[in-house]
Amino acid sequence: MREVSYNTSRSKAAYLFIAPGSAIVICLILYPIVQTAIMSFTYWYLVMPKKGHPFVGFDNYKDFFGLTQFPQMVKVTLIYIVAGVLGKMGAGLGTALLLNRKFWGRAVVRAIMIIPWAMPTVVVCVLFMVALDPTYGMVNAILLDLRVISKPIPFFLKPDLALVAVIFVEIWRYFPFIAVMLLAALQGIPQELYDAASLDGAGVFRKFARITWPWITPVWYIVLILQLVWTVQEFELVYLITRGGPNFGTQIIGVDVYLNAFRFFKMGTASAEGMFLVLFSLIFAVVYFGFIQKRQETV
Amino acid sequence: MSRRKVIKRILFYLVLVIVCFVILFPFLLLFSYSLRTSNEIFSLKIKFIPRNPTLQAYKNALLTYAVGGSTFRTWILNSLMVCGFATVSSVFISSLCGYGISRFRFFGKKPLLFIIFLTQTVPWVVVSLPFYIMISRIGMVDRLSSLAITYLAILTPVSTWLFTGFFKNIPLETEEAARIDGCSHLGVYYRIILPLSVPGISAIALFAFVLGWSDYLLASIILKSVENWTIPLGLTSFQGEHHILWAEIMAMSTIVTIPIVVLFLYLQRYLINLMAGGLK
Amino acid sequence: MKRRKAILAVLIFLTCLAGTLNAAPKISLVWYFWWYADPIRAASVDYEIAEFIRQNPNVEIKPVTISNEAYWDRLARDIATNTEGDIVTIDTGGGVNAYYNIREGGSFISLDKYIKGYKLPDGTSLEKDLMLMDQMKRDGRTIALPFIWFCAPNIAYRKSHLKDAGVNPDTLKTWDAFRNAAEKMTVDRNGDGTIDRYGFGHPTYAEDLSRWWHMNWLWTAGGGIFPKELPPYTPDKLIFNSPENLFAVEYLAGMTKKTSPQGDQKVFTLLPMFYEGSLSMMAIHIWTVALIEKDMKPEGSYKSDFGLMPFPAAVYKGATKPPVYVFWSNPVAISTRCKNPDAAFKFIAFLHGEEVQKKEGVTNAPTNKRVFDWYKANFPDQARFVEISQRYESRITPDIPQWNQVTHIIQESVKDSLLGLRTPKAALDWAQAEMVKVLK
Repeated sequence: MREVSYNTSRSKAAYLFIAPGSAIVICLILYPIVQTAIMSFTYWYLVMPKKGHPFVGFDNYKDFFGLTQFPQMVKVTLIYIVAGVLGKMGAGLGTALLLNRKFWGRAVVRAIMIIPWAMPTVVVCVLFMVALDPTYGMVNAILLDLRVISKPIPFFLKPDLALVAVIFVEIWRYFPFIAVMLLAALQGIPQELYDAASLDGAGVFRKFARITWPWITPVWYIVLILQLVWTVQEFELVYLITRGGPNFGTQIIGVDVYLNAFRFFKMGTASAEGMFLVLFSLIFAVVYFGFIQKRQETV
Repeated sequence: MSRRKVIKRILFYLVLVIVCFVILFPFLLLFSYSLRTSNEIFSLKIKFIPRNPTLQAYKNALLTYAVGGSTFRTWILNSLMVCGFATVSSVFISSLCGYGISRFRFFGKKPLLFIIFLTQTVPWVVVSLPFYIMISRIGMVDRLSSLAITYLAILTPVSTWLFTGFFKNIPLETEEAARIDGCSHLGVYYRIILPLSVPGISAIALFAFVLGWSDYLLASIILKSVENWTIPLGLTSFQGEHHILWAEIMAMSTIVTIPIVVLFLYLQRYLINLMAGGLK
Repeated sequence: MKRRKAILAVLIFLTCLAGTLNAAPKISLVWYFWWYADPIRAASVDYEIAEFIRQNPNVEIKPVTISNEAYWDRLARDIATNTEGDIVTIDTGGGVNAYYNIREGGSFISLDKYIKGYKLPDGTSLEKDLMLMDQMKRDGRTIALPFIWFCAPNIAYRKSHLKDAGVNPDTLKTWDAFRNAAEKMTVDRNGDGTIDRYGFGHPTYAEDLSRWWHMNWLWTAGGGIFPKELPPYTPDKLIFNSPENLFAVEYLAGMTKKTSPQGDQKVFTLLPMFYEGSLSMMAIHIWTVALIEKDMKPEGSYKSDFGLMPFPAAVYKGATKPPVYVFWSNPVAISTRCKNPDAAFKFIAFLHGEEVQKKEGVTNAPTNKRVFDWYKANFPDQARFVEISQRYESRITPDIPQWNQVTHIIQESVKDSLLGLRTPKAALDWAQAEMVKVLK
């Protein structure tokens, strides 16, 4: 699909379109972001305050990198991002393709698909925290009853299992968003393209590669980078289920940001961590968008 | 039907059933938990189908539970108002913005795109403090209108960006034809782009609504009085210091999930009807 | 026309007059606390507010409440941004200095000049009739009134379970006796291969509450964070990886492995198990008594089956160390940004009146000494709980600004030891190193 633009003499009309949106974003969102960046370089320890929040240079960042569990946090965060995003995008794409076909009961299935996304986060977390417990959780009870396992699976006792559990919850909870977006894109594909391709003798895979994929590519790339950027900051889901445990096994950076900001009142360090995540996302975005540009040039 | 087609069909339905099961199973767990008393949830030999199913949790949550006069009715009404406003306004504003970005070249386009992306990378946990300071200075704390505007502000960049993705698939020729016929830019937007993007609009509207419906962080920061509570705040109130009304949480959760499902089912149909007269 | 205008003008004037006569300016006070979602305590709050307004119709009191966990996040943020309520509830067990220090000169006003000679209508003298007033001082000034207090831990047990295992509760005076009894009571009663009755439950997750679920074991063994939790609170005085602490944690880990439900347990998952009868003994604090009375199953078994005994003494290196309890309160303070401190003080003083203290007695111990006899007569189990606790030494956790970080470290290290993720020695050594870092 081509990048389109009108005659530059018409560009004045553009400002009318973008004005309301930009105004809201700049006034309400940009200012706090800039403030956060400033906070990451100043002294912001709420419970032992210093007058005027003096500038401290990179001290907050050093504090963050100097955390004993820093290497563990980075490792866990990376695993979480890679596994989570792969799982979500894959499941989302698969579900969207599945639901794009006509079949009996399609509306019902589409409605069901929304449920993981529609449940408030606090509920999802409480549910999994209770259901996966080795002593009284229903999941283990059912598996034991069906004799699939002989001993309860200690989900929250082993760091690896806990990580698997929260990654599964992350995928389960957010893949409907991707599926809904991709489905919306798929719905715009005219049936004639597929019919023509069938006449030409194209199989399923070729239809996908030549028709489906190029059509959903714009939405796909946007959703992918959004998922990456959002997963990097994830905190509520993991915190409410495992609180970062056991033994820092699920302590993704987002959880640490929350603990520093709201628990320990070390807003400076928390801001530094936040800025670190922003920087990571920006660097990643540069690579990402460069890659997309190249692909679009070769198409 | 040929043999290959039959096998394909069977495989399709098999995969479908598995997917549905994976999606639904936790929700069924939730429902099963909601049919018990809170203490029963910790029974050692718990079974999927409760021995003495009871609707007590639903009755408690819906009819008796109140925190200082704030009941689930309050929360649902507040959430509906806030989410409704945020959804409608954000879809409107960001589709305009998205159209401007995807069809025009203008000074400041690259910085705007950068800012849009930047707003998505920032963890709200941290930004919430300067944000809170800012709104407390202008007296916007503890109002539902502030929450609604905040959601609007958060949704606009993302929705704009998503809209550009959907708009890319609309061919330019239709628009150019309309402009040659004397249609204004706004008219093109209204008569051509919008009707052709109904699936995209309904997807983004759903996204906006769900965000407001399940957000806890911003609601807990901006709202204080119990009569302003939205659903997530109400749900967290079930967690007392040493006791938690587990069954009631589970029961409330099954109930608050329903509006979203209903919304998803009917939104697209509604929008299509709304725009029925739009296409030339 | 002129007549009509004249009549209209007169009517408007009269309405305004009537309006100004009726509208005495209302003083609005915002009260910050966290327990409104608990129906037992909400009833007390409703009574308190309604009764005060009845006595003082020109005041309105607006409760602002949120869950306990979120309360502290919000309080710090609100004080830092000057948006907190007029009346603020704090917790001496969770650290007061952290919140007091946020604002320069102190976040709460000094109440000394109000307290002097203040007598409530029912005769209560704030200076003489309230307990724990010495804990209310910061910078030499009284900055809060104690309101209600709590004590922990005593051991709650089900009499029938002890009887089934042939255990006499009076013999459970030491840690060893206690562990043996707990192991005896952890049984598989229906022979299906899984344990259905656990002898003892200890929460592995107790972050906000490490002060009385973990700390009492450490203190009883002779350890703690600082020696006897007294200042100076400097890194060189930390004793967290002392042999006494190690002894305590190893004991707990060994006992819970054999007698407790496996996995990450929290107080609010153990209590239902106690109610249902799958748990025989657990440590509780005074508030839990009312909850147990309400929810213990089968219905009505509370009267016959609920037992209470003191926390057992540790025997360390041949020496018997009596248990150390913790007493803490939820005082109410007045913010320095309150515009009506006189009215605010009237309210918090009102909360210490005999009627209010009696109402709060169902879940909390009263701070007004004048109602002690009434308390003993009307809430005998709670009073007995207090009486047992008062036989022993009591301590409170150090009130340092970095308390939240320290309790987080305690939480992580104890949990890892109990769940077997780290050896107690490794966990405590790690905790000591982390605490040194935090206090620097």
